Amino acid sequence: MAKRLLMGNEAFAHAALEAGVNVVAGYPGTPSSEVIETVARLYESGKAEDIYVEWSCNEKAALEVAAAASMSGARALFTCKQVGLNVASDALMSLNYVGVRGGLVIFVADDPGPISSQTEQDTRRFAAFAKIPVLDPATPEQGFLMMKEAFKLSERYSTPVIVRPTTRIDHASTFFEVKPYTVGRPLPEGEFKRDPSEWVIFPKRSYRAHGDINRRLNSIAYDFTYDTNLNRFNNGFDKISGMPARPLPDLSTELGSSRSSGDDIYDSDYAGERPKLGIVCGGVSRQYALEAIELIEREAEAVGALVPSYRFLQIGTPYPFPGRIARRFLKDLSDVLVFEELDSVIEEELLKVSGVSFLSPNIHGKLTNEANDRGENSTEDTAFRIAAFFDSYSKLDIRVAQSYGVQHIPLMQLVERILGPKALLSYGKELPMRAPVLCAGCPHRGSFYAMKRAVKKLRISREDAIFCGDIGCYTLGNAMPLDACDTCLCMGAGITMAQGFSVTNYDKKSIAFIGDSTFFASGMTGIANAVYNQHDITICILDNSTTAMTGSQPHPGTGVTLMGAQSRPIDIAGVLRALGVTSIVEVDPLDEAAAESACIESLLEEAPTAIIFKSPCVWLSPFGSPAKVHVNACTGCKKCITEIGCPAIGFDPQAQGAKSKDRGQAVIDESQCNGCGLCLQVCPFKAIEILTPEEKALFESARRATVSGSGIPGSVSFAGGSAGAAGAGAASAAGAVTSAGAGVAGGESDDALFPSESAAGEMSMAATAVTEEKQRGLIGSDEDSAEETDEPTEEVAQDMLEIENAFELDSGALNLVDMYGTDSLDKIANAEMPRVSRATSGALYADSFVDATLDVEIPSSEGYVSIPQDDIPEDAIRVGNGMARPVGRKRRVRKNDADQERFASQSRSTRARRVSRRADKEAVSRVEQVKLEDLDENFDGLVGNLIETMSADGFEEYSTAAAAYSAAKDALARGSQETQSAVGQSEGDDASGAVGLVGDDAQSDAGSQHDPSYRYYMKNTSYRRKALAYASGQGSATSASGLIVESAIDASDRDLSDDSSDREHLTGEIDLTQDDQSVANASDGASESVSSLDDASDQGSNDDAMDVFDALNRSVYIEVDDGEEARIAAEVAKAQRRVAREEAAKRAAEVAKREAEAARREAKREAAKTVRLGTNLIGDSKAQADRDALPRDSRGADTPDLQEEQQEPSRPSAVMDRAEREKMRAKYAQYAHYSPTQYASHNEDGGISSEGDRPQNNSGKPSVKQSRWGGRG
Amino acid sequence: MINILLTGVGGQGTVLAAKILALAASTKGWKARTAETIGMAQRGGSVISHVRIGNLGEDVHAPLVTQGSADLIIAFEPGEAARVLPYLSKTGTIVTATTTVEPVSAAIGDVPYDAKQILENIQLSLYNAMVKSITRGKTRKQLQSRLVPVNDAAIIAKLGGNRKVLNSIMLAVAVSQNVLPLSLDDLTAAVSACVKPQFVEMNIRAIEAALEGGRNNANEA
Repeated sequence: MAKRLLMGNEAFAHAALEAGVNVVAGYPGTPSSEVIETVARLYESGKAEDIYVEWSCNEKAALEVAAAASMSGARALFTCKQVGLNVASDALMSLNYVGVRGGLVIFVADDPGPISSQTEQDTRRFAAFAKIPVLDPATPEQGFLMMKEAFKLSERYSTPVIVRPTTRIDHASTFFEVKPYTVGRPLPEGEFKRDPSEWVIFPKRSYRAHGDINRRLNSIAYDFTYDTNLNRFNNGFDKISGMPARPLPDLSTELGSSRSSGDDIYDSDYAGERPKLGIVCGGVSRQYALEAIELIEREAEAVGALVPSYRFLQIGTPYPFPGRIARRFLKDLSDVLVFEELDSVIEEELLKVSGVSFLSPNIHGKLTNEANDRGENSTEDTAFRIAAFFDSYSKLDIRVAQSYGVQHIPLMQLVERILGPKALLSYGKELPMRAPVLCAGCPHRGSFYAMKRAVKKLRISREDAIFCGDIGCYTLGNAMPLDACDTCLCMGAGITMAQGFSVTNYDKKSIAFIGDSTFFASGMTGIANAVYNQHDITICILDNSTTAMTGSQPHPGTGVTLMGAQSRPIDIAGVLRALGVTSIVEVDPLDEAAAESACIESLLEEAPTAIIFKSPCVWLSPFGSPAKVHVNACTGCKKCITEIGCPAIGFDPQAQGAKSKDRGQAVIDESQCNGCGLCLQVCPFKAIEILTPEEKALFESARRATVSGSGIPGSVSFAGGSAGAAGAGAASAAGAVTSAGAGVAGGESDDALFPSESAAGEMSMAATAVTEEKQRGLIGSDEDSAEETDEPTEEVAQDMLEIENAFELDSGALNLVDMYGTDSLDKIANAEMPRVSRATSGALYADSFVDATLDVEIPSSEGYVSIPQDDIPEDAIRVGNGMARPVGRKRRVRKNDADQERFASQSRSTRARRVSRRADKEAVSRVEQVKLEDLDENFDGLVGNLIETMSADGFEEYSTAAAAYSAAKDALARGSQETQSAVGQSEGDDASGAVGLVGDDAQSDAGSQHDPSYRYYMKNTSYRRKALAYASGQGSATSASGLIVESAIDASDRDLSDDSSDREHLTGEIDLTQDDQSVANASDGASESVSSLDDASDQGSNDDAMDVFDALNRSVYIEVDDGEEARIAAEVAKAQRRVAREEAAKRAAEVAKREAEAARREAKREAAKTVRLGTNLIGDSKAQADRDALPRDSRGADTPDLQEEQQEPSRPSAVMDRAEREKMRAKYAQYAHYSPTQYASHNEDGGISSEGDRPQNNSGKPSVKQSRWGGRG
Repeated sequence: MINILLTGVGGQGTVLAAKILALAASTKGWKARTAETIGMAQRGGSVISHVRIGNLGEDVHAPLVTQGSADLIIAFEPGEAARVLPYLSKTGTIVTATTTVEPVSAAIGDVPYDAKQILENIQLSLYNAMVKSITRGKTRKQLQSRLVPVNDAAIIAKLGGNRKVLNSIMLAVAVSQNVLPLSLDDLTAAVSACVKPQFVEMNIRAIEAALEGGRNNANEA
């Protein structure tokens, strides 16, 4: 047998296996999970045979599995954490009555602290409550022995036995000698024997069993005292000052001997000193106490002080309490100090024993406030308490000290000298807390963010949305800034608590969050309840395909079992459907736009509704390329940090960039980032980008070069890194450090402009096409990259220069934007039309189309809207139990106009969404043929409708906007014609060759100012500005800025879609990516000017665009009086429009992204055929292949399969269609007489309400008999 | 009795480092205990691993290191080093990585989180404690708590940028401080026994690079 370093839980598993356990079942829960994991591992590796092990759905299931195994004669082990036993308690209580055959050990890990639990409950108490013996180890070694003894004890008395370690036992490691191979014990008496009188728990059986239990508990207490295998856990010693410790004699030696010492530890002729003080410990506290006493003795010895005599005892079998051992221990003592974590179990037992035995020691502990009343014990705390105890109660020992001629020094002083606050080092300064957070890239972050955004967009204030959390990683959603967990009670409670909130908070929306494993553990019943009782809740199932918090255990939704066989995964959507949830949406939480619209949809649908956020845990999916901050684009607005709180995103106050001025910039820790891409979607300035594998390689090689020289603190600033990467990119690509690139490649971080880097990267691609020998250095030889110093070709150097010039010119263009006004980044999108060839242009058109259409949609009370207040008869609202009763199916009775308006806007957004979806479809089908005329028609429609519905002010504002818009449209028409011809031009250029292309592009970039489309863009902008000025004049500065932000969002969305499609390093695409950069810059410029406009308005001097954004959001919630109704209407319409546009744009962008992707693939295939000459692209294509192979790529659309799946990402995959739903509703209408409303009406009027829209019932109230059925027998 | 505290941010590999130390101790025939934070704290929170080695053949009672008694603190992140300072004994050595992992709370707030600043503050604390003790009549020699910053970023960059080898680097530097009764050979053997075969070479290279970095630092000093 080899000595192995094992964690406590691993040791427990080995012990159980060595005891011949046959069946192991449990549910994961820190700190218990490793037991089953170890058994499974040993089984899998063939080191444990004849064993069955499973993760059950929940603890109750697990215990019942184990119980039956035991009834069949098998040895069984059930594991859980302390709160898990609550779930299994139903089974446990009865199980003790029917008893067991094979040894059944209940392994329950308690968690003092609590370190990772909800409660500090004490399983020793639970054991006493259930009348089951419990063993409480002080060390892993002792636990190892206890586990084996527990099986024997269980069989000896046909009782389950609890082994209760605590976290510091479970997760402490030490060395064990374990058997290398174990086999399960053969069933001793064959299999299960039928015997109803034994195994069926009827009252008669229970009565008999209770007597058995009481009798066996007495016997077990006797064994705990006299059985050497068990009483060794109740060990102790006497320590007389100046003498070696003397172990307390084993009581079993008395058995059968004539020696009757009563309770005296010493022989009757003993005349020496007897200790007066005693210390009793339970569990790991024994170790702390031993450590503390050692420390005190050491210090005392150093100064020649006296430590009084004392007696020490560990109680390792707290229930049934070994009273005889305690009595003997207490015999000589005057004072006893008890150390135990959690409850005062031992302390109370000692009091009991004292009383029964007519002993009168003072028992000190939790009850006397002389020990911690909660939390963990520690050596430090124990040392102080023991010193104080010795000082206070050892008066006799002072005299002894004098008689010994030893100095008397208070021990407290000695402890203070080494453990007091003054003695310990301290940092002295404040340190920011490092609380646990959701991992970088965690899909839950996306889920919470999407839901928060959706709530905000529906104009439900955060206070009016109750986010009911649950137990799992996603409880961490409560941390700032997500702050998306308002309640958390126990497993599965999120769903049911939301229901409780929904019936008491009519004006609030209850949203429940639950993980996939928790869903199977205890979520399904709650959902049945919600469907049955028609609760208005939205259930979010965060499906990350694992039990993440406890260390990635499989569950029914994965189909993976510990026995190796793969079962059929249970489909959560299918379960929901079967339970009667009609609105089920499945969405990828990392696709922000889709997730958000799914949330909106679900919040508005007929409740209860469910959203399944499906994305694997970061620990299951391979790391993607990290994201990086675009140094030249980051404005330092901190939105990425304050919105999603990803641990990979930090903030560097020193970082400087073109847009951030002195604010500092976000930085991404690429060692943490797994490229989930959520921050890309959050950043309003498109300043975050995902590195392609090639870029990552370049980046790393560059960092290697730059960092090795840097000193402490050695943290590389991202800017510096980019600079290096850019340099390396340039160097390795063309094999050249050009004069143009030298400044960048030199690694001077001030010059580290991200565009330069990307330019260099693209340059490298161009060079790849031309000089294929040289590009070998690109990926293959990172180390060599810096050493390549071949002369650059003249051409490349020239291109490099021009690229740089282009960026400078861009900043000139930005000034122009500033001068002429701004907002409309969508016009930039128009301006950039040339680059958005075939695929995306359709989307852009479609976007405008959708946009215009949406505005036509005017509020109506059809569909999902509540009954308008006027329609509700006054007496329909009843008050019962002090609560307003809801009326009809739509229970939301609005209190005032503002509320009603809010709700109406929800319905508008639903309609808008539907329209946008329709538009989406159309966009896909007619990518090539969208006509400008559509714009016209729809715009007219918009104006016409506005006239009808708006007040005078609103109309005026809108007509100005309309004028601006139609002007813009004209400009667009002309612009697009010209720009499309430009597309043709640049496509023609494609054929002319890669290097030429780069040159062309650089030029076209440089000349972007003179581009006709650009001019039109400027013109449009001025129109738009006029409209804005008008709006501002009316005092609605916020709405004006809203427009700006709205367009900014549009533009950035488009950019997102375009950008995500660039960097594919295909020669045929350089034109696209190149333009991309300039557009990005232009959009940055526009966002800058957002701030300038903000300055101009009365909003204040904040130059941060984010403030405008926030201001807009705030303005949505500002309560206004009736006089401003018109303005509000206008604003609401705008906000509505913004929401719709955002969504539409995002959808369109998605479509475009896919199209672009497809086009690119084709292009790539062609390019690969023609351009690839041997080795040059091997690295590239390999990287691509790797990317394709990723199950979840950060870019989503890269893999063809995924693309297929994502065809309609936000489309509910499992939603029942409307007609079907109606049918269902009709079918269940017959049960309507259970409606609480009807009941209320019935009571109040003394008759049946005639107002209800449901079928009448005759009884009104379900009979008493009915309601009594179904409870537990 | 040797008390070692390893601290860092969840996921940095302190648990494995603790295991390696315990294993190295056991090959010497000493008793050893370790204890870790697993669970909630692993999700990017602060993690502490305790390693206690009875190098004089004594029993190790408590699984946790007592405050003021750590002979060695190995911090994988400077802020975490600052946090566990009360554990350091008067003669203890604190070996810390210098690359920060910014807590989300720091990123949200406006307080800068700067490695250099933190390290200076730690140094200041050590200095203050020393001054205080000297005024109490102890000699400087008795108080030699030291701060050993490790330029982990440079070493890791040299090794190819894989931060997974951070624990080997930190252990190598810590062992080379002559605080532990363990040699580099002991460490190398324990590392080889603990990590998967395919990573052994990588980790041994990391140990070598760390030592080389240490020598360079010494030369500069």
